[in-house]
Amino acid sequence: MTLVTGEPDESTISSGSASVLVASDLSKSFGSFQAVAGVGFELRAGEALGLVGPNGSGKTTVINVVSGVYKTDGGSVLLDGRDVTGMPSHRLCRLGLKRTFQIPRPLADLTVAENLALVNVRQRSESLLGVDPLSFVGLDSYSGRQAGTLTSAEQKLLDLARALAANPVVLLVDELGAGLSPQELDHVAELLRALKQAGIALLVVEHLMGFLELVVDRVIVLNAGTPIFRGTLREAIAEPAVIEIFLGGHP
Amino acid sequence: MDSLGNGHGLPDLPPVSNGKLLTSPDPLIDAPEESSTAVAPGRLHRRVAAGSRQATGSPNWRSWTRRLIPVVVTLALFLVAPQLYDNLSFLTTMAIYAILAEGVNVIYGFTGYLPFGYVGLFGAGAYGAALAISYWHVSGMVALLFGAVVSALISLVLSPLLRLSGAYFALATLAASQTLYYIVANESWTFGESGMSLPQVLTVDQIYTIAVVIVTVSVAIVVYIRDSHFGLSLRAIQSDRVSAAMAGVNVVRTRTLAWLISATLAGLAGALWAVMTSAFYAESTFDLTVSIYAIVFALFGGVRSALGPVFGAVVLYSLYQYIGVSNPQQFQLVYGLLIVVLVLFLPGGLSSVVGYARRRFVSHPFGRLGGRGDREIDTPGNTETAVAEGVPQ
Repeated sequence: MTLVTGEPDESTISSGSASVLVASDLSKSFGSFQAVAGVGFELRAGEALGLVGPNGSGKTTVINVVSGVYKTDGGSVLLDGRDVTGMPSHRLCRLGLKRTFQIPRPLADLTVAENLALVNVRQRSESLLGVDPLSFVGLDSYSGRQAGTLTSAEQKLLDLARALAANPVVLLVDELGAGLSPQELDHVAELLRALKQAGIALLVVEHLMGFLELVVDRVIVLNAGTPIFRGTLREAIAEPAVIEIFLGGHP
Repeated sequence: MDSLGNGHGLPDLPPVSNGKLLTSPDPLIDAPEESSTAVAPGRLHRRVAAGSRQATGSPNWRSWTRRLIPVVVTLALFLVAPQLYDNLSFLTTMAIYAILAEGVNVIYGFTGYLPFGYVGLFGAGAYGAALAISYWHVSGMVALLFGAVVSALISLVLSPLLRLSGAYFALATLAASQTLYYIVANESWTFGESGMSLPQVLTVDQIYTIAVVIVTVSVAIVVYIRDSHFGLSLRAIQSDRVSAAMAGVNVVRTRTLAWLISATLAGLAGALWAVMTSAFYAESTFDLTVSIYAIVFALFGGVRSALGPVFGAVVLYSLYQYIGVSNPQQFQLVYGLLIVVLVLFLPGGLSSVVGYARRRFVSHPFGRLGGRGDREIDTPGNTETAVAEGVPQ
């Protein structure tokens, strides 16, 4: 159980597992505003890639494009070698690509158990995780509660459990840590690391660097929709260009 | 594409603040590595499934009773009714309203789409059946099927309206029903000028029997929807479309299917009404009060419950017969007051009282699951606004 597996070099790529998710040259604009331009990445099983950048740099748009919420304007997304570009969410879900939302979106009128049951029946693939998602996130005693009555932190966990109930191969995590207390953050970081160990590929959007450090293997730094840095988080925070976009220009 | 690595790995990032995580004794973290995983999912999945399908965690026979009771009660009610009140025309109309109320239940109760122009589908069914009889001299049963098919087809044409939400959908269906009305009222092939006049294709007794069968089937359909994964998907769509899609629900197909079922019920009701009435004008067919009654009956009884809309139709339509026919003004007063009381104190309808009483006074063997989340007691969040929308009289 290593904390950070490190950046795999070229030799491990060729001999190791193939990429489960390959996104290349994604772009998305809203009217004249280019939200994402030329973003690409690969993700292998059991690997976590962080997507960082200032507010409005297009992190969530990348997730929305990959998860089928938005149609991409260009580029492609391959899931397990299969072209899934522009595929609607519900089909991606069945193929094993799931996401969580920045603001948790449980089905508020349904009970916690129903939230899970909705997904359970649809599952096609074998669970990589191997345990009940609800007990995995620690919500199993809440199964009869209406999802809308949970606290926001609990709703985030429910969102995660719901994503896991679909037995994802790839999980897109959109600011799961935002608004959580330090203890909750530690808990969520532990959960995400367990998911990596189970062989699930993670794409993590997050502002909290301390949290990212616990979870991701490498990061892509976005600025104004374009990747400006790829590498480990440690390298990223030492990179002048990255420091500049986060803290402002040099004097 | 991906500039993986700059040649050097970083396998040994110092465990700054996370040494404790590495040695965490939390069994959940270790679970994926262990063989105990084979045991855990079965047990837990069963619990999840039980919790969702049967909020009370009842054994199988009890869940079957829960399913059969609404169907049997409906059937018994309409079979006994002719013995108590010998007016088949009234009872048939009541059954027709019960079908319409169940149709509203399917689309409004489970998806939250308020079909204010529901009368359009009712009228489509009526004219579908009537025109089939007039032109092709089909038998009564074929005419009923024809009405249902016409209504279903029109609902398919209208299905893009489901992209709208809330009041917009309600108004759009209203506009659609008005469009249908003006077409039917003005075209010569629909006998817009002279009005429909049909030969008697079914006897009064036959019509009542068929109406009772259709009411019973519509209750069975709602029971199925209530307890099935299809119904769960519908309620998920009502709660949050995007989130439901992310959970693997095919939102467009699922809600269109519900709309189709609802329209077919309206078409059958309209066709029954046409065959029963035998002489009518477009004006009396596409009468907006049909929509309003169907919606109010459904809400009064309680949507999402199988029996609620039937009770709503029986109680309120009887009231209408008792007061409304002789003293229409008094009836409107009583009706208006009822709706106000309903909106203020009973947004979940009559069935919510039953649910409340049961939750309150009957002990739950599985109290753990029988708490706030008990699904049939849920009131759709927007019932109040919808009643308000449905009542501009």
